[in-house]
Amino acid sequence: MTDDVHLLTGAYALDALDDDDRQWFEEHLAGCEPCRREVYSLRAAAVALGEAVAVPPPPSLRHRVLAEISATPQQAPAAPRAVPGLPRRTAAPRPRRTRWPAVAAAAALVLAGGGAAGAGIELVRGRQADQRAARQAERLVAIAGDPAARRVSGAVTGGGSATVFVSGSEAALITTDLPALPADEVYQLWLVRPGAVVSAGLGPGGDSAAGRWSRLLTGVRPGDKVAISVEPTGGSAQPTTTPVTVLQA
Amino acid sequence: MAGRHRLFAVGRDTPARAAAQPAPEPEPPDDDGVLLELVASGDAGAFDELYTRCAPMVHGMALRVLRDPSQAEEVTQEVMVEVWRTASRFDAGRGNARSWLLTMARRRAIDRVRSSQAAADRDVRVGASAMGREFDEVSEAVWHRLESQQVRHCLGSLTALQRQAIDLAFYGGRSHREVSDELAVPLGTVKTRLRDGLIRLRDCLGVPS
Repeated sequence: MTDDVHLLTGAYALDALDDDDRQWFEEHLAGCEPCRREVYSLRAAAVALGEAVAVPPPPSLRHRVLAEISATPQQAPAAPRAVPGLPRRTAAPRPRRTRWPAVAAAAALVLAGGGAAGAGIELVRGRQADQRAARQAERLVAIAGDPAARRVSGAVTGGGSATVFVSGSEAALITTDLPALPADEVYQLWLVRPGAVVSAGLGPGGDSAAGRWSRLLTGVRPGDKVAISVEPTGGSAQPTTTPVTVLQA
Repeated sequence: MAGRHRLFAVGRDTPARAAAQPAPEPEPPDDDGVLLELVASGDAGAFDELYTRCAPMVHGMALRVLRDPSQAEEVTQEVMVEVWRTASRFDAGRGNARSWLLTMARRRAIDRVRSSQAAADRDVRVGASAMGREFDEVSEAVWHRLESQQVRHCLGSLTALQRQAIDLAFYGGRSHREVSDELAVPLGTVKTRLRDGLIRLRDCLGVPS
């Protein structure tokens, strides 16, 4: 019986090949586009077979996993990114602190982190934070993927760029290649409107501020600008430094 | 009855004929892939969302192969942490994110089974069919879910031999060579049953091809 190599797409999509066969077939795939297309669609059928027996794990597992990843470093990408290395803030003095002109007195305060008031309350807060984080991530993906969302990009002083996708009263902010910050500084987000500058939450700080991160902004109004400034850890009531980027939402 | 029937080519649609088809449609967006990109940059919120979406499949797959709930949880944890650790290595050109996770889950669960001391235990664990008539309690509950019902309905459009091959290979963790040995049918026959069966499943589910 002739061994038609293309027949292996099913076994491959089900991952039912041992290592040698798999390696051999992958070499074939590299040069066979019809096979690649077929494998792609058959894999979707295999995923359906997997989803058909899905069973949600107990909630305690999520907490164990989240705890473990907080202590697990991530592998760098195999291929180097286009921009070599990320510029770090030097120990040079901070930018001159200037007050922004025409800022109204009232401004929203940044959410303060909850103080420890007992393990039970912390656990509940932790779960609520998990749920908030999950909802936020869901909204971020939806807005960034919405073809009707307005999109604005701009360079960031010090390096990198930021993009804002706006959909209704929400905005997804996604940054790329931003410089890291000193350990006691953090990026803070602002909504700038006539007569007011309103905090829209904190970005990451210190080393984790480098590279790519994303945040969901809510309460965005037509005409608002989205700004990012560098603030001391914990954030500020109003910007204390000149923003590193301002984007018209 | 099994294995003795000659499975002649049923409506073969080889890739060679596919060359005449029109240009492929753009692939559907891979939301999980977008989340994986965010995870690769350290976004724990995105990871949490990816966990919500994919952990049941990972866990269910591990449970199906291992049968043991505590081992299934361990494998699920290993897989999800590995996803966090190696998200940047995911190659979007090779498939979508969910199939990447599914493959990881199956392989880890199967590795655990294979390294188990008692071979007899292994046969018991992976022998029973997910698609056969006898279900254990957990499987029965799972098969009542909406997605499962659709898959179960579509599996009805396969021949019994195609279902058997897919069951052994996918849920039973056998390689196609092992399926060929166990059923005492030629390797080419197994390849054909797996491919044709999966194509029927794909078409019934309405996956774009």
